[in-house]
Amino acid sequence: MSSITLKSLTKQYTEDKSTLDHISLEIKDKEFLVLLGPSGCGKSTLLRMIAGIEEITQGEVYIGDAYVNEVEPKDRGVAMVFQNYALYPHMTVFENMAYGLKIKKVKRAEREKRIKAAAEMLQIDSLLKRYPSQLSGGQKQRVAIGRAIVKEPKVFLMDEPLSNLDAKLRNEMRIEIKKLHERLDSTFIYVTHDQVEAVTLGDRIAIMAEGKFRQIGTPLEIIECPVDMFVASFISSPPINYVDAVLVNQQGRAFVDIDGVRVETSMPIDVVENHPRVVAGIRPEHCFITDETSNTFAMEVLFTEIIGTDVLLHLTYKGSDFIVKKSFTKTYEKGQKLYVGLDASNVNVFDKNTQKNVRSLS
Amino acid sequence: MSLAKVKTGIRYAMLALISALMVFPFIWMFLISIKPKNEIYSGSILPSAFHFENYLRVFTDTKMLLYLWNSIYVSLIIIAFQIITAIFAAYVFTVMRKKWVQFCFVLILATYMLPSAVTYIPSFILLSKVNLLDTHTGYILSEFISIFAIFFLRQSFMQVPKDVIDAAKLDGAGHLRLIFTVYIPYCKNAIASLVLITFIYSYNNYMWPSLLIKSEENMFVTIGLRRLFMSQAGYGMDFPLAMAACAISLLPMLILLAMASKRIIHSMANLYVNK
Repeated sequence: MSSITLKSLTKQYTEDKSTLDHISLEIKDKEFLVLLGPSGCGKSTLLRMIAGIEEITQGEVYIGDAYVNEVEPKDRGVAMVFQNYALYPHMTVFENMAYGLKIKKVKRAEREKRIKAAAEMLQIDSLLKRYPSQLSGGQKQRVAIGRAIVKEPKVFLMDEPLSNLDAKLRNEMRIEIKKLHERLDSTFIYVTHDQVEAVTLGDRIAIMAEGKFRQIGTPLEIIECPVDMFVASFISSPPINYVDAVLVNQQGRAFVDIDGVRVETSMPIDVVENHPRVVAGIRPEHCFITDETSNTFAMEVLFTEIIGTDVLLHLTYKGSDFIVKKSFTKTYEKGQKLYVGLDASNVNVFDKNTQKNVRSLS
Repeated sequence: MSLAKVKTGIRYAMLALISALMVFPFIWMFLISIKPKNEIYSGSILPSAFHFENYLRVFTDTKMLLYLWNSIYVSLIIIAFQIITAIFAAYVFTVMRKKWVQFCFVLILATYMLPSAVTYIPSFILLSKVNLLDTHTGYILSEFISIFAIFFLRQSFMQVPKDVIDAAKLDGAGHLRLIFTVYIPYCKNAIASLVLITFIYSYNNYMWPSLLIKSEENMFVTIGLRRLFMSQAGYGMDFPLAMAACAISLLPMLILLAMASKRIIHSMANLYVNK
């Protein structure tokens, strides 16, 4: 069993401010959990506390059923992959992977067997005699992952392992890490600030800000129903559009009314009564360009941004920016007038004062 | 010719000039060592005849060989002790970030600011109390620990990335294994140049050993060379012999430099150039 339980975990570097503030979380056996958050939110610190290389100010860490606060990092059954690889520069790839096993007194034949298997899995078997300085970034990261695999840990901890790689390599490695998780049957905890990585890899995502969890859920839950505007912004790329709106009770049905444009929502009617003035969060991909002039917004094109086969239309609506994402089938002129319609089901509504999702408040 | 080429030319000319100035005393020393005695003050640069037998006379007529041996073996022992103690001390000061540990480090550095002459008398009294005056043991004991070495190694230990250390800890490395399999290999260039610096310092050290060492059989090269000049002062100096002795005394250092020059340049560049 390699579930992980965190109980009220706190980290304080200085007395007045907590880097981590009473974090509690249960990670299931063999789960892939992603810690997502902006830099400085404490996600790496949390990971390092689980690994045992960061002191715990307060709180408890359990791996399986064992209380591990006082357990040495090496005895916790965890392996970690670092952002800048952290390979031993004076050892060959083989020696790098063998180092931990030697300390654990794993027999030579067994050592070689494991390293060979891991190297084949990661396609680095031709590099075993090289030194880290002779490897490319992607190869180094593979070695770092290989060094973790050979230890056959119960828990893999990954601290932004892909952020030093270029975009193409990052996409490849992302898929490989996903495959690795399926093959290895271990629990993964993965730290990143990249929401694409988070949603593609994670069984669950824990979004952090300022040392606290904002939301923990499956990628779908978080995308469909972000608890507040911070989460909605963070998980959305291109950025989500926010527009002032009111909630309207129209003959017992809940509507979001944005300057007269109304879309129905599935919200309970009492919420509508309690939160009349709100902010509507509209994802760029949940809008469409139409010729229809009723129940749509008239907007003007600022500029267009072509991303592969898609295009981002940067528009202005009442003086602020509004982004619409659609497939790139047509070019648009600056200043051109367009009508934008909304996908009714996908509008999230946030309380104007607390910035919380109105739905979660009901 | 382009401006860049002129600039490079000037740069090389300057470097050549400075190098020539530095090398000249050594060449002069060598030339004197092979001249006949009566040509020393003649003003001619090249000797009329080459007297390489002066080098043989260094070994037959003087006790240079003994002095050399004393200097080298004592220096090697000092290097070993200084480096070993510095490695452990530097490790503690790098890894333990507790306030009182860092305070100790500052305290130790502060003693480095004392002029060494101030320590001669107390050290002398201390060594006399334990009957170690005029012994190699006494000298080695007094040079056992080098604050410079501690500081120098701490600086280079701090360059080891924290993640590499953490990775080793996760791999199960304890303190000793961290030191021997991570810190030392990572800082091997710094350690090599420290060996050289320590050797040069210890081999060159004159003032303190000259106070400590009195008997002929315990003498070091530095004191021995001075005696060579002094002993003959009465009846006309044997300059060629003295210069040959000087030239011979340089050899150990030249050999060491030849062996370690690459690493030294590397570590100096690491230490002093902002990356």
